Amino acid sequence: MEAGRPERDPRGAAEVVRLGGVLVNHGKGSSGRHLRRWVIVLILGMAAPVLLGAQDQPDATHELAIEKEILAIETLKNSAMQKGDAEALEQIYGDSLIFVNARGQVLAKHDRVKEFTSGNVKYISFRQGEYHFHIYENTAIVTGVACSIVDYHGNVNRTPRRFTSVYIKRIGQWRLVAHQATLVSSEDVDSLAYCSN
Amino acid sequence: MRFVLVLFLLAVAGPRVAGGPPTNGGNTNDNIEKEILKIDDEKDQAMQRYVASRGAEGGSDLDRIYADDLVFVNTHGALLTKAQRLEDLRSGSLKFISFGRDSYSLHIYGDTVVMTGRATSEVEYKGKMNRVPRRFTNVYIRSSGQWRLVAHQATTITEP
Repeated sequence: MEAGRPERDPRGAAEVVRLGGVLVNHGKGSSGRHLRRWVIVLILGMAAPVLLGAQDQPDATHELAIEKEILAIETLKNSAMQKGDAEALEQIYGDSLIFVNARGQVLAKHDRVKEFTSGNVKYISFRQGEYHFHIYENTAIVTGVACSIVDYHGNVNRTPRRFTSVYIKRIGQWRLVAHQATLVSSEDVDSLAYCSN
Repeated sequence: MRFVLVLFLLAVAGPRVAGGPPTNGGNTNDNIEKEILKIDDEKDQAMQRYVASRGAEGGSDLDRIYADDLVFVNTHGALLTKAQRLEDLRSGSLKFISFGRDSYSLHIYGDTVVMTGRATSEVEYKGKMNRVPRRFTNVYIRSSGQWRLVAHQATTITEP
């Protein structure tokens, strides 16, 4: 059926015109109510993919909502790291996690979780913030600063670190799939107001 | 009413069912890997040209490959924007003595690719020679058919 060409309502009660797939009712009475329902259904049917598709290009409100979700996960993760809560970390870390620590070592999910259960990582103090978010559909990139004092395999590290975390949303759940930390050099550490406050 | 409900569900699901499962824009992961390696090589070559020419060459390629909202964390832990990164390269504070990458891995998540690797380039940065290998993470996002680097972080390897 070409757009704009009149056709008969399948129920034979009213003439309808198809305009870009939307059935516009020109009839009246009970069949008119029925057609109105059709119109609503079809408009919703057409709008729903558009609304769903709107997630592909997040607007500011949607981005803010994602930022809140990610921040909540970061808070959970940070708490789990301090408590050595392997179960929580298993949920947050993606199975394919690539974790590059501040020494440039690459750890897989299992190795990273084990660091906490083994007691090789102990937080003397914990402070992390100055988050910046970049949201791309189902990917969120978070950069931030960690000023935590940590006992790592017997060596205490007080140097602030800059980190990048990559979260991917799959089956409705955000998971951390990549993380990298870099020590902030002595020349640049003074610029880190977050850690000096 | 049941018919209406079915119609509604079909209307909602239709475009997605017709589209089927994600196909990475018709590309297999092998193709994506090739595309990412190609764009990463183009980036590295453009960067070397840009540095060597003090910004006279390679700029358009870098502008194409670097996303406008690029977040770039260098081995000093400094966070740079795209403009700051380009200025850093153009300023003459960085010189490549040699350029290399001896390993990498890719993780593909639809239109997002996380590339990690080990860079072995010898660089002189602000007068200081750096021969220590670095671990890097590059995140590429495909938008409108074009892969762009949206995040990069490098960390000096102090323990293998």
